Parts: sequence; structure tokens; C-alpha cells
Amino acid sequence: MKLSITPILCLSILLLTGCGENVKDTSDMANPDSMDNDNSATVHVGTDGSDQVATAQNMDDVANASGINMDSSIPGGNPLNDPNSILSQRIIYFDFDSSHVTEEARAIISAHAEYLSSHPEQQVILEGHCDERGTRDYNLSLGEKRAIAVAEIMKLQGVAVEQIQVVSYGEERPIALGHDEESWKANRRVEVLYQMH
Amino acid sequence: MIQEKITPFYLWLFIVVFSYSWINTLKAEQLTVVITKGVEGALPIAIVPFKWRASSTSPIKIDQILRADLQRSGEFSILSGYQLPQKPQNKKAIKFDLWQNKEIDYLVIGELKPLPRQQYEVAFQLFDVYSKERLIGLRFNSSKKKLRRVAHRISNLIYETLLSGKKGAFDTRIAYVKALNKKGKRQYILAVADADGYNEQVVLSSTQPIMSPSWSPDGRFLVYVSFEKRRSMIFQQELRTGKRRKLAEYQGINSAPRWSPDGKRLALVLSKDGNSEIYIMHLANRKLQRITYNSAIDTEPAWSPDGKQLAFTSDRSGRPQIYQVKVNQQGRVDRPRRITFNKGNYNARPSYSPDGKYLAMVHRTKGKYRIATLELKSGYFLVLTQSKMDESPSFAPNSKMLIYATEKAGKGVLEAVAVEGLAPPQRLKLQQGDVREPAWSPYR
Repeated sequence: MKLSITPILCLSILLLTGCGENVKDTSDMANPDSMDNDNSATVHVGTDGSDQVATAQNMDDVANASGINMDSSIPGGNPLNDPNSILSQRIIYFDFDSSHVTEEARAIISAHAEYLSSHPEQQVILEGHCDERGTRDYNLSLGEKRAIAVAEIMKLQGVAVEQIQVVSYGEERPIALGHDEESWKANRRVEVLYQMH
Repeated sequence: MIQEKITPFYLWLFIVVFSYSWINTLKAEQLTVVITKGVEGALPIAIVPFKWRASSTSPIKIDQILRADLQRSGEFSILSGYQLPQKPQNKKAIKFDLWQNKEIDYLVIGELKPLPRQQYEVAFQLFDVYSKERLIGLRFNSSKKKLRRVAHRISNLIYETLLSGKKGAFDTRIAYVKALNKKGKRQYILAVADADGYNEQVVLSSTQPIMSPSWSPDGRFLVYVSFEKRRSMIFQQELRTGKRRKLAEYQGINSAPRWSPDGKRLALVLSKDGNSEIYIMHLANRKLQRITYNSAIDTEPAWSPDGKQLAFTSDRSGRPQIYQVKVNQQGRVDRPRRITFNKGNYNARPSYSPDGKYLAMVHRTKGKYRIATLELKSGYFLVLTQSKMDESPSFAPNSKMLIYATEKAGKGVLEAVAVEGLAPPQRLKLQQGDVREPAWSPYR
């Protein structure tokens, strides 16, 4: 219960403060600051256990962040900003080791699909996640299966392929850090992330 | 001593009961000494504290490292410090009858002394207590930085001398991933450390997840999955120079990279064709060969040591199970065959022992995830661990031990366990953080 209102809380804080920098969320999805970090990865040298000192550091392939801005809020008198709208529900939950979309989840997905098909310029990232049980690479694939299941429903309702991006984090980015049923339940999810332009 | 008079059946019961209580360190340690003795032929050995030949404090306790190494191997029963009948520093001082009375077969003594220019000399001797013969006597010169490595090499020598021909894997390394919370932000670190968990060095740090490290067969490179661009991508990184090369950034998932034994190919998982499938990438030209064709999840490929087979996880039968497929330079040779049956409804993340004898995996039983081995020739299946969140098994290069990730008090930790034998798992001493996905290095 508490978790499902988190996006609404973040949304209101975002609206009140006008910027996301101070928003604390269990995931850093609501924190645009962390999204724009150009140096999200740092390579370290001389880790072969030898005494040799590395002189050069080749940063050829070091990441530049994709530069995508994501935010839970869309400015303007938009139904996405209405905390009473079903569109404020941005997390779709799943059963253990399943990518089956429940009836309850279907209503939420349909609402988003309806919004997206009437706003073809709006893009969305569907981010699949799992609980910690089961092996990590399997869960990475399972997270993708969940996100694809949501995407397929959206596409059937007229959302264009170009509007949807599917990403999986497997069990690597839990919302709840506990090791119990309640945490597992909260972590088996697909997050609907609207992209800001 | 009492145990020796008990019938094997009761002894077995004792082992089962006591192996559950291994966490209870001091007591368990004593029990371990008794249990392993005579049951699995663990060798009784004593290691006398090394003499430090200077007035300052010793920079390192060599004997402690030896004790921890040999203990972790599960092949030795080691006399605890307070049980030592004497602390001889040279052969002359050894009263062999005292050690015989303690039923100790082998004895290690040694010393450490400072040399000019920050150098040290380590000397050690290994004795057979019954023949009173010196089996090894060696001196090493070393910088302070390499003293731990010298100790691991001594462990190797003791192991190889006493276990006739088995190669020691103490002077090896592990790669692993850990997650930290820094000022409320998650930080992910790919690190390498000595096989006992010491000397940690950071290979990559990121605000985004890092997964699936795997060593190149020559130990110079790691491949891993990084989410630094907000999606999974596979990188190769040379440890010495930090030089990186991006190997895969296909649409969808790029995961589970595993270096082939010949070093020329990479098994990996891509979902670019719609869902997770196993591929082989030729590293020279990055040409891909698709290995699986199934709408179920196919992932976690593992190379057989001869490079002729891949084992992998698939839920094509409803729940994750292990499949095997023959491959060659041209790609797949036959259709995948399921190789885990009727052993619980879940087996995943296979890993071959380098000697090809076993396949280790994560096995779920009654909701608990444990490490199990399948002896490939006989089909004999054995669950090795006792907790509920054990994962990512990785063999030592000598095939005698497995390292894996588990959870203690809500935190990810690493443990090592002997593949054969009944020695309880040993926790690795790693610093803070949630540690996972260990990968044991090749020999170096």
C-alpha cells in the first residue's frame, strides 16, 4: 500500500518544488540528477595483482550517459499529473517467477495505453524488475519478459512501437531492500516511466 | 576420540547435526577437527606460529594465512593454537613424540625476518611427525606487498606435497560484484581480491548495476555486464591497464558473458531476436552464432572445459532446468538435451568443474536455493550447502573447491566449500557491502 502511493508523493513533491533534486525516493528514478550523471562508471587500472604501475588509462569506451531525461511529472494540466487518475499508478506488479499480467494490472496498463495512443509524441520506458529469488541472469531475462508483456498489451491498444522502450534490470535494482515476502512483492514489477522532452 | 568408537551410522548422524552448527565458530571448529578426522581422511596438521626475528611488530602472520588456507580447503584438520604442545622454531627443538601423542601427522614451522630495503625473508619447513623427516625446507625473499602471496604459495606447496599431486589453488584470485549505499545512493563495484578475500582492488565503479563477471582463460581480462548507459551491455576490461572494449550492445538484453576455454569466443545471452537466447561471439570479428531457438528463457551459458559443449538454464519445460548442447567453431552441432531431472523443480546457472567431472548449479528445494553438484559420469547429485539464498557457484581452477554467494543477516557474503568431503563452508573475509557473483580466476 505504502509503495503504491510513493509515485504520487514524489509527483506532488516535484510539483511543489519545481525540481527533482531533493526528492528522495527508494529508487533513483524520481531523481533526475542521477539520470544525467555523465560519469556513471569509472574504470580502475593495475588490478592484475602485479606491482606494475599502469601509465595510461584508455577511456575509449567509457560511458557517456544517453542523455535521456526521465521524470514522473509532465508539465501542464495533464492527466498524468492528477494524483486521483489511474495514470498516477506507474508500477505494475507480478506474481513470483511469472510474467503473466493480472486483471488488476491490465486496467492500469490500458489506461496508460489509452493515454499514449492519444499522445503519439509521448514516449515511455517500461522497466522490468524481479525479486531477489532465483539466479541473476535468469531474472534479467524474466524482467524483460515482464516488460515485454506490458508492451504487447499497449501495442494491441494502438500504442506505436516507437513510443515504447523496454529495459530490464532483473533483480539488480530492488525498491524494497528486505528479504521477505513483502519486499519481494514490491520488487516484482514493471515501472512505467514517461520521458520528458 | 569418542567418535572413533561410534558405528559409522551414528557418526554420520553426528556429522549431519554438527555441520548445521558450524556458524558457532569456536565449538564448531573443534568439532570440525574431530569430524573430519578419520571420516574423510582429512590430514592432521599443526602450524606453529612463525618466529618474527626483529623487535618491531611482525608485518604479517604467515601461520594464520596458512591455517586459513588449509582449513578452507577442507582437506586438513588443523590443531588449534592453544592445543599446541610446544612452539619449536627449528628442527632441533621439535619433540616429535609430543606431536605423535596429539595424533598430528605433519608439522609446519617457520620464521620471518626483515632484510634491508623493505624486503623480508620467509623460511618454512614441513615435517613428517612419524618419520621425523623434513619434507620441504624453503626460503623466499619478498617485498612487504607480496608477503601474503608468498604465504599462499607456501600453502600450495604444503597442499601439493601432502595430497600427492593435487595442485593448490591458494595463490589465485576472485572477481565479484558488490553494492554499497553511499549517502543514500547505490554504488556498484566490480572488484578482484585474493582467493581468501584479502587485497581487494576495484576494477570498475558505477552508479548503475554491474553483473556477471567472467575471467579470460589467461587471467588478464574480465568480461562483465554494465548498466552504465541505462541498459545492459557487455564489456571486456584488461586488469593491468584498465583498457576497455565494448563487446555487445544489441537491442534488448546483453548478458551472461562466458569466455571459451580457447579464449577466442564468448558465450553470451542476447534478446535482440525477441527473447533471451544463447549466442557465441567470435572475439576476432565479433561474428555471432545463434545456439538456441526457443520462446522460453535460455540463459546462463557455461563452457565445458574441452570447449565442445555448453550447459545453460532454460525454462522451456515450465521451470528452470539445465540443458546441454554440443558446439564447434561453426556453432551448434546438435539439439539441446535436458540433463537435470526429478531433482526438485528448479536447477539453474550451471558451471563445469575445470576437470570436467562435475556440473555445479543452483538448486531449489522447498523454497531454498542451494549449491549442488551433478557428477556427470554417474549422474550422482549432491546438495553441498545448507542456507536458503546460495547462488553463483564458481569452481577453483583445481576443481577441489567452490566459491558462491549467500546471504547472512540480510547481507550478501561469499563462502567457499570443498567439492568432495564434509568440511563445513568457510566465510570469506571481505569488507563492507553486499557481495555477490564471485568468479574464481584461473591459475596465475
